[in-house]
Amino acid sequence: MSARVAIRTAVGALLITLCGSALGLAVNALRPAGIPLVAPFPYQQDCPDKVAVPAGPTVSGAQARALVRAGRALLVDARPADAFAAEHAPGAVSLPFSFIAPPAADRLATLRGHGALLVYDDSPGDKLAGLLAAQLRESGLGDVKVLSGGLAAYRAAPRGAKP
Amino acid sequence: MKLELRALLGPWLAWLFRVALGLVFIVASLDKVAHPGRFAVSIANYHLVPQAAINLMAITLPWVELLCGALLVLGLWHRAGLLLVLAMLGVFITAITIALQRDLDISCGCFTTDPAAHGMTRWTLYWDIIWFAMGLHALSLDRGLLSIKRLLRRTKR
Repeated sequence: MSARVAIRTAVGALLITLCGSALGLAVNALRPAGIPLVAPFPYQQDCPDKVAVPAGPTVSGAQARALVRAGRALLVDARPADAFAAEHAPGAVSLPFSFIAPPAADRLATLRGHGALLVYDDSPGDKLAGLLAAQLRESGLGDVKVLSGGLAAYRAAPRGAKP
Repeated sequence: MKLELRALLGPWLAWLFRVALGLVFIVASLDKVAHPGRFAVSIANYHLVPQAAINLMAITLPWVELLCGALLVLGLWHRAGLLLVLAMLGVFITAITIALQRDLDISCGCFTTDPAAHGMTRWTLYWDIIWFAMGLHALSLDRGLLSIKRLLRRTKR
């Protein structure tokens, strides 16, 4: 390969990198689910299975149902938006947990003034709910609890349950 | 007969390797293009990239892979594309080797960003080395057979 061809190849490779990067940045800026250019907080996990869920207060399905019925709590669904769209507990709000971006300030503001926030998911060990609950507590929301057993426990709880 | 065999092992095999590598890179990029957030987690799992660069890499790298793959398949700027593919494979081989040495229980994030995907094994590394060798062969012997550039040139004539 002559020096001229080598230089042309290297310049071409650089141009492809620049074009590909520009395309990626443009698409990310335009798509609604685009991610921030710099992660706003450190990635904490080796892999999702190894993530330690921070300990925090929990409520049972029956307690959750009674609190919601009394207007003293709001259910928060930590599952992805498509899972929420498929099925969710009545009155629940969707706030999918994300390692990449914690909930935005305006989203957090809508969660205030509803009493306790009862976070649920449908994963084993309520992992997503536990992580989102910790994120919400770190964001300054005081009364955040995990609904132990998730959506299934809420569904299974008797409707007339007392807190 | 000797000449035919040489041609088969030379430019035509190089063309086959170039197109195969292009398809591999296109397929590898699709899930990452669709899920940059999940790909960012895959990158973070390697513990090699600085925090500030993880998202930027997750946003840009899949598109560079996709563009490279498309150019290799079409035979446009194929030398530059092959050089870039070799550079990327070199980085992947290094990252996978380090992850295997550290015994990290992570999925490689090569073709899928699904965290539940199969964990990385030595075969992940071997495949990357095979692709690297294919890329080297194609870079040194590919004459741009069946490329858009050649087809356009023929049409002009």
